[in-house]
Amino acid sequence: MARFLARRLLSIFISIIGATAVIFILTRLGPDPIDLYLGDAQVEVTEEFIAMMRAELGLDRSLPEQYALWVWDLARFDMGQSLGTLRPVSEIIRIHIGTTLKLAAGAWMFAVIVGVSMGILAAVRRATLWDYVGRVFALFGQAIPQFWSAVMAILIFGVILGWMPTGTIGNYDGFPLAWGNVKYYVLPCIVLGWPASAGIMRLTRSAMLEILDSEYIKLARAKGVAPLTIILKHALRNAVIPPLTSAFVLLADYLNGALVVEIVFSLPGIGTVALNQAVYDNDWPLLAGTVFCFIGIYVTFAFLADILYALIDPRIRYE
Amino acid sequence: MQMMTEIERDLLGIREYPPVIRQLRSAWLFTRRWPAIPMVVLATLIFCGVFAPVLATHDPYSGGLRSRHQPPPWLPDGMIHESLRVNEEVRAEHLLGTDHTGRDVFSRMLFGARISLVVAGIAIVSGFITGTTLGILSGYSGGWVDEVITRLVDIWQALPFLMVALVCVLLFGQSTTLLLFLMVALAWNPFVRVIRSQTLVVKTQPYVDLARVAGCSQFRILTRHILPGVINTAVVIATLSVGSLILAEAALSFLGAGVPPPTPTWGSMVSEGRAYITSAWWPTVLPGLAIFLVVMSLNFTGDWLRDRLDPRLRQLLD
Repeated sequence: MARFLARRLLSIFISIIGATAVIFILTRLGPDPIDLYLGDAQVEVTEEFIAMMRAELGLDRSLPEQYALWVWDLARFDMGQSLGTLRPVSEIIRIHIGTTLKLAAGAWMFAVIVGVSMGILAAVRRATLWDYVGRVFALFGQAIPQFWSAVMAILIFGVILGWMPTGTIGNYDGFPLAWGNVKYYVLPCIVLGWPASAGIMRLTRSAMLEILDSEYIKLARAKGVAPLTIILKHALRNAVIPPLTSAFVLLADYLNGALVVEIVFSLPGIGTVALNQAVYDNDWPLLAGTVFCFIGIYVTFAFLADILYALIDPRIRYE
Repeated sequence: MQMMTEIERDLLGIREYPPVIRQLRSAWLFTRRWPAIPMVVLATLIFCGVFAPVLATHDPYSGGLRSRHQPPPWLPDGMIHESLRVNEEVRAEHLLGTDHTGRDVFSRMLFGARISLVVAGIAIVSGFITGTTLGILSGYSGGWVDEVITRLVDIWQALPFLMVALVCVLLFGQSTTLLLFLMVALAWNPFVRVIRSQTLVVKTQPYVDLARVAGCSQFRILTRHILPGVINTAVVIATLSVGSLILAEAALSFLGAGVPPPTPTWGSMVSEGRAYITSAWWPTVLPGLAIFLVVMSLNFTGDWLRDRLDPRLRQLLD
């Protein structure tokens, strides 16, 4: 297990270095960073001032040196100062990351619970109404554009039916899981979790079908084990492995969705900050900070999925 | 076999049907074998995209406040929001209504289909070529080449694509070239891993060794012996990922990272219309519905093609 973890950690480290390098190279392919900083300043800017800025921002050093410095600052969560608000980027992110994490966690729970249970139901009650409902649910989930399903959810459940509040996250108070705090996240989480749950449902269904057909399930049936015990204890434990691995693959799409869902539902998370503050204000340090946040969340989740996978399936650890 | 008696036929379960029934039956089997409805949707999409200038009833760029937010003529009067100023004369002209600047939604959707087709087409062709090449190289050569390519795929996957797109927009400005670059950068990734594992299987086949013994060059082995073994898989992945590419293009357009306005794209139509959704829903709902239908049809066709060409992939890609 220790060796497995060490190898996974190493590969995650390489991923982070690579991803930051890609962003760094992008910034250097674009216009001169100093222009991004100055933006369309109305005042006259002297050569001396530009040279001073360069020195201050470390732009007068060599490229590898700049990259190393930049990564070193990142490692200490020092992401510079936002140009639009003149506050430290790390502070802005700290304020907004909670919303994004709540959204991601809620959607994740929705995806796993609904996906796995619908997958089981579709496999056990194969070729019945349950199966068809489940498959249509999966089909829709994988084809629906999230920005559109979010708008539709607001239109149907927020405007026409008026069941759910939209466009606000309310005044947070009282018990964290009280309905008054949770209800603002219900629609966004479902919209965000739907495509992922569709993937999980399909995987669970096909894994379950294969396992229900296997010899050891037949033996358990023959020896008279209760059907529910067979499904939950004998079959599910093996059937849940493929959906868990795919959780890793689904994650990237999933975080992309979080950006869109936050924007449509006006949730004050990192995605909204990235689009509404960073992109519109040309606030380069803030945008870079939010991108790293997303990379960080992705990498952490992927690592957790790996550990979970290794815990459930011992064969993985020895590969 | 022609000399069978009635009893023998019965025993073998072979039945003679009257010709009409036989035709109906084969037509039914044909639709079962071919995903007919998705194919019709896709054919319509391609038709609309190609003949957009002919089919369009209005100029997709010109509007006017007089024709702003006209509901589609087929919408019952009871469903029209009271805040809208309906001009019956103008309204009758627009098949799917007009948007917030009075532009014809139907014509804009036709031209939007064009953008989706072209962008997804270019992306998938380039992704197919680069992804398959990298996958084969990675699987066939092994060693450090393999290591570098797999690492690259891992790193690429860790990048939040839409955020990176926003970074690019901030740095380089919104443009069609940028959109194409982003889509091409997105398209190659799904191919590499699957093609690589497929190549690992194909390269252990005896005929590859024989080709080597016979003195074939590396290039010849790769193109004539390995490539035919993985091309089916690549086609299946291509079909299955066109849907997600169309979704990605729409999401980029929605976020303002796609083809710059006023060029109509389905994603940007949803984005522009959503502020007025409570009163005028058609400029938002209809393009989204179009994306949804097209992507669903593509996924259907992809699934069917996978079962046809490469049933083993079911486990890998399901």
